[in-house]
Amino acid sequence: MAEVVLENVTKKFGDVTVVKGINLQIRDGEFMVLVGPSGCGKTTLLRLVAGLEELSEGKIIINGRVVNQVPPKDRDLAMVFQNYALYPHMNVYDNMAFALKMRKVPRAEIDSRVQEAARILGIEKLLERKPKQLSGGQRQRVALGRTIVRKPSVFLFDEPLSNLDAKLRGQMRAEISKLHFQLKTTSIYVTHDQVEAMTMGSKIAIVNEGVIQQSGTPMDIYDTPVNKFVAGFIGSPPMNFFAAVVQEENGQTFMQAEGFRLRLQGDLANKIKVEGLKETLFGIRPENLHDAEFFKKGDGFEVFSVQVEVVEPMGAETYVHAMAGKNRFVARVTPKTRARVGQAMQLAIETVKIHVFDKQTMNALRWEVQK
Amino acid sequence: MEKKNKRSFRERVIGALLQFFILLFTIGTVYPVLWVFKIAFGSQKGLSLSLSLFPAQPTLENFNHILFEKPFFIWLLNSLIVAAATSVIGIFLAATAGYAFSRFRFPGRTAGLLSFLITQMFPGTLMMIPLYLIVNWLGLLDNLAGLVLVYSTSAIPFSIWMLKGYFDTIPKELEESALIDGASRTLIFYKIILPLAKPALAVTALFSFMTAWNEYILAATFMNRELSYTLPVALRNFVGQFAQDWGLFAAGAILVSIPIVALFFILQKYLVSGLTAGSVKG
Repeated sequence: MAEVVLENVTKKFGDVTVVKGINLQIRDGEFMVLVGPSGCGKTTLLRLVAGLEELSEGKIIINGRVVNQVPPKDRDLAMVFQNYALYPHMNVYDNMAFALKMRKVPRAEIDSRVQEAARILGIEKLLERKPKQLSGGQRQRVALGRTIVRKPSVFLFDEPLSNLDAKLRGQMRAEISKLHFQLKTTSIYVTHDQVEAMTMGSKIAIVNEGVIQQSGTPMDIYDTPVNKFVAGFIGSPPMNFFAAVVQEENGQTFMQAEGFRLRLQGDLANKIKVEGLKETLFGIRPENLHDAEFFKKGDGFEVFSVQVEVVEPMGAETYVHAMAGKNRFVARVTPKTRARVGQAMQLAIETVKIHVFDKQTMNALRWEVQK
Repeated sequence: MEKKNKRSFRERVIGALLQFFILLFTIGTVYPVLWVFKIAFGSQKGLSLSLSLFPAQPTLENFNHILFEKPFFIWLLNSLIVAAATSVIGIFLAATAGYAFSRFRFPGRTAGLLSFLITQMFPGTLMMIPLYLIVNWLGLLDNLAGLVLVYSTSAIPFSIWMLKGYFDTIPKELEESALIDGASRTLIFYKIILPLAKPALAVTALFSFMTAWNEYILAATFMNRELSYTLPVALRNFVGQFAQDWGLFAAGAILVSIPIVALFFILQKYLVSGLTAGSVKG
């Protein structure tokens, strides 16, 4: 059990600064997911915590101890690699026992720990096999087993599921979550997949260009992204963005986008007025756009007309890709929708769920109520 | 229809020509080897001009003579010692150096690798005189250690390149994983890297062994006492200036090739996996 604290962590490779002064606290027992596009520095950050890379600046503190100069083996952490990094010439048992042998753990103790880990992961029957005789999912389990036999204070995961097919990935995602629930070991999990981040993390940190854009619980981040990057990165299908001009008419606030015009109400309208925004960038999540035909109109909804381009029935819901002027929208609508490609349809937009971003800084404008 | 026939006729002609050339080259390759057998099992001392592959009077006399009337086993031992020592020393130095070149970034790394490559560009005989002077200065003429020294230094550059190339294909995550697991660099090298590099080590060992086993010029220059000869030098002396015993020479040549052939068979599975290494994921 341990707490990991990153203070102003910076890593430079030559002239390139990959990780730029990151501050982050991972509390004891937390499952922290670092998520971001490839090349954002998230893996480097993990390797810095592991001790596989040397810090350029800053401090890494594990359990109250600054570990900047501590070699990887003495940091009391275990890591799962993207390509599993199983030792090909050793069987599953020896792979799992390796770290314990290195630490001169008594043979009987090694055996009981390996058996226990194998039982937890359901790989008891594979102990004699070599890695190349295992399927992707089995290798993944062995890689997990290798880390849990150690009983370290911190688990590090470097995109562990990216080599698996979609179905297996979903399964292993749940297993890792279950494992974390059982063991309650502080974990740092790196991924580029926002679904993994949302579903697994007790906390998420969104990394881009070597900087943490936002950290918090998954739902906090989903509901109140701090900037356009986070808003667009978290959520699938991603948030729709459109530029619009704010207009005042007879005491009411409208936003005029190319191809449609919406009346804004309540806090959002007030905030926009207070800030004196004229031209700005708006965002709306696909699930806050509805097929107007099947949606009870009322307060907080505005209807506008779009041209349907693609209809994707997913079963439980249907994704409609549509254009309004030059703005492209994806809406998650009811499967009962009668939207047809090439025809017009009416979309109802939940105006209280609209996100507003400053056009220059791309930072989100916060306002009070989000129903 | 006509066009199709035409094409298949042309294909057949090309195929037949190809077969013909393959046959020609096979005969060209195998014939001299069979001829050596003919001489070895024949009773003549000289070379017969007959094209036949069967000796007129088959006999084991040549083998008997070389094995029991000449110090063949001493020469064999000399050759074995030199070749084995060359491959062991060569492999050890090349593996450690190759690992360093593959994994570490240090000043002079590129220059070092290039200089190894450049040494391979000069013909070996060019180095003969300087090498002779060095070995003489070390007092190692007529001493097997001198040959081992010279052979291993000349085999190492190639071996380093070979092994470095193979180490490059071993994912570095394996080592990082082991580092986190608590293994030291040295232990990682012996327990993780070397076992995984077996195919490359086998190929490199075979190369070093064969180089030392077959080398003639340097051995002939450095070794002057009959009892310190290696096999190639000893064989060459059967067809010297004064006496020409091709029968003995051929019998010797066959005996000399046996260990190499045996080694090839033993290392075969590694050689094959060495060639396909890296083609399979995981």
